[in-house]
Amino acid sequence: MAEAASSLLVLRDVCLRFGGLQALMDISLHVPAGLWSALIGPNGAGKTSMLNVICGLYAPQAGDVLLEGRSLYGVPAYERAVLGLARTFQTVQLVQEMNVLDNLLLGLHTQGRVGVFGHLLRSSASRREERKMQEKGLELLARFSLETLWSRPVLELSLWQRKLLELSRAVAGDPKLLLLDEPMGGLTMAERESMALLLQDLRGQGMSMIMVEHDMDMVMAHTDHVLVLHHGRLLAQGPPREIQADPQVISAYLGE
Amino acid sequence: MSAGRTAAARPWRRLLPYAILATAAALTPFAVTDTYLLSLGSLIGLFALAVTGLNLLIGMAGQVSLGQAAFFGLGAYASGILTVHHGLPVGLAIAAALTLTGLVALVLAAPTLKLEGHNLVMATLGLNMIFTIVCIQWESMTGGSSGLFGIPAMSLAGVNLSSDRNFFYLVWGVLLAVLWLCSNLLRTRPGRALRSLHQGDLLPVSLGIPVVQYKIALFVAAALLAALAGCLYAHYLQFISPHSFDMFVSLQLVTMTAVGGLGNLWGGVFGAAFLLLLPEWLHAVPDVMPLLHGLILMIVLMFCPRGLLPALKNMARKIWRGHG
Repeated sequence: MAEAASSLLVLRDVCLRFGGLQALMDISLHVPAGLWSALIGPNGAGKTSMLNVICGLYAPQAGDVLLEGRSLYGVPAYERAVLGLARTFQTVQLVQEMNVLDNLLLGLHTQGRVGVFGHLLRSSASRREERKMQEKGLELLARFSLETLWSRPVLELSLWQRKLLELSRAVAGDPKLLLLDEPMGGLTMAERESMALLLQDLRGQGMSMIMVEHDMDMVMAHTDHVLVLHHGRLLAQGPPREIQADPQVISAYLGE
Repeated sequence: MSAGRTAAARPWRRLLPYAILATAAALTPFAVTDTYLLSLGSLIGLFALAVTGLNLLIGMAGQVSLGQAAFFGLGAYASGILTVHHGLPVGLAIAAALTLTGLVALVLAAPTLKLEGHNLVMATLGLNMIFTIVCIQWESMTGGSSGLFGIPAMSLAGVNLSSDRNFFYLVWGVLLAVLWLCSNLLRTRPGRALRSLHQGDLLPVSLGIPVVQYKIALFVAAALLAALAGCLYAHYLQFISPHSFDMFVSLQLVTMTAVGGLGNLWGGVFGAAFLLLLPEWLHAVPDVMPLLHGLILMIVLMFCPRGLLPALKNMARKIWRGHG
């Protein structure tokens, strides 16, 4: 229980079913604050399902998710974002019709205080808030070396730039926990290294992260803590070195 | 160059289209002396008002409603009945009609917005047919299929707002104000949230955007704009009949939206003008208009799904470059 109190995220006996398919079975785990955790497992192990349960896109049939000791039961996904959960997606999710800066500013949605009517009438508060947001947005873009592209439509971006933009949008609101769904997927070796450095930087600034990733070299080289899912169950968890040597994990990956 | 500067330092560029349209609208009644053409101009403004709402609903939330004429009609009939049968002053009747439409839209929004795609189209179409049937059957109130007569004109401080010229100014003034408000909204935080809605719920929800509330608000806003157009329409013509608000009018509104380009505010004005002026050029008989609208909608969706206006703009740009 003491462990639960100091944990940023706790899952308690989480079960998730889709009809007859058991996607997650009795998952209980603690994620301490400030760590870069990896969530690994073979295809169909339930990794993305688990991210979706944490951020509220799926409601588990049993069990509970706690963020900083607070139960998220019944808290809709959009309110979880307000509480400090942010995420990226397996296939990058950007609004195609909008430019780079506007896409980034979506990440600041929960920071706005001026209401709809203020914005409708273009009140001075609305203009001030927009100006501040744009400044903050450009700063963020600069941090991820995207500032020169701010006015471009996102369709013109490379996959690497899209991934960067999605990441910068996710961290825009200073989340307490960042969920990353295959941030390295589809990237070249050099880009993977750059992404790892960026994520290391974020951790250095105290950002807690859970990353779903297939690139085992990256996971083993960079993360602090590894969670292994297999057929919807938590097979093992621990530091990368222990996980690498775990016979259960090896057999799950290499197949019986 | 920073975005703050480029986005905010040229406000005149944003105001330019309003200035052009306002000037054109101000001069039109002097240039157009034919009252029929002037009232056609007012009608374009009214339809553009309803199309603006529909444009937000389809363009932002991706929700196609084929029942928008029912809200148009609800505004018209509510305001008409309240003035004719209950003797309410016109201003109060319009306010009451808008409140009523807002409430009806709010009640309908939750169940309707659970539907998507074809189901939503069919449900809203059904809504429109129910509305038409009620208008025809509830004779004591609506005057049935022969319509509601004797709706009072609008006036303000002794000025008759329902005269052809004044009404033209009223409609285009309201339209320009609404376009300005909408464009303010779309370029700020709630607008960005609205523009992310058609991606599906996954993205907006994970960004902290309450998708359901936003969609309900859009549905109600679209209904209110249609109803406002309806109120003005009723007090201008001083006569309304169910035929003016049937599902073919809904089809016409959707076609106007598609022609102008989804989510493109100025496009809606173009779409309304294009579709209302077309029969004048073609000297078409009214009976073939629904057919023509269906055909135009099909052609636009097949060959320029982003709208006829954006397609024409692209073409003009290409020709310009070819010569330059």
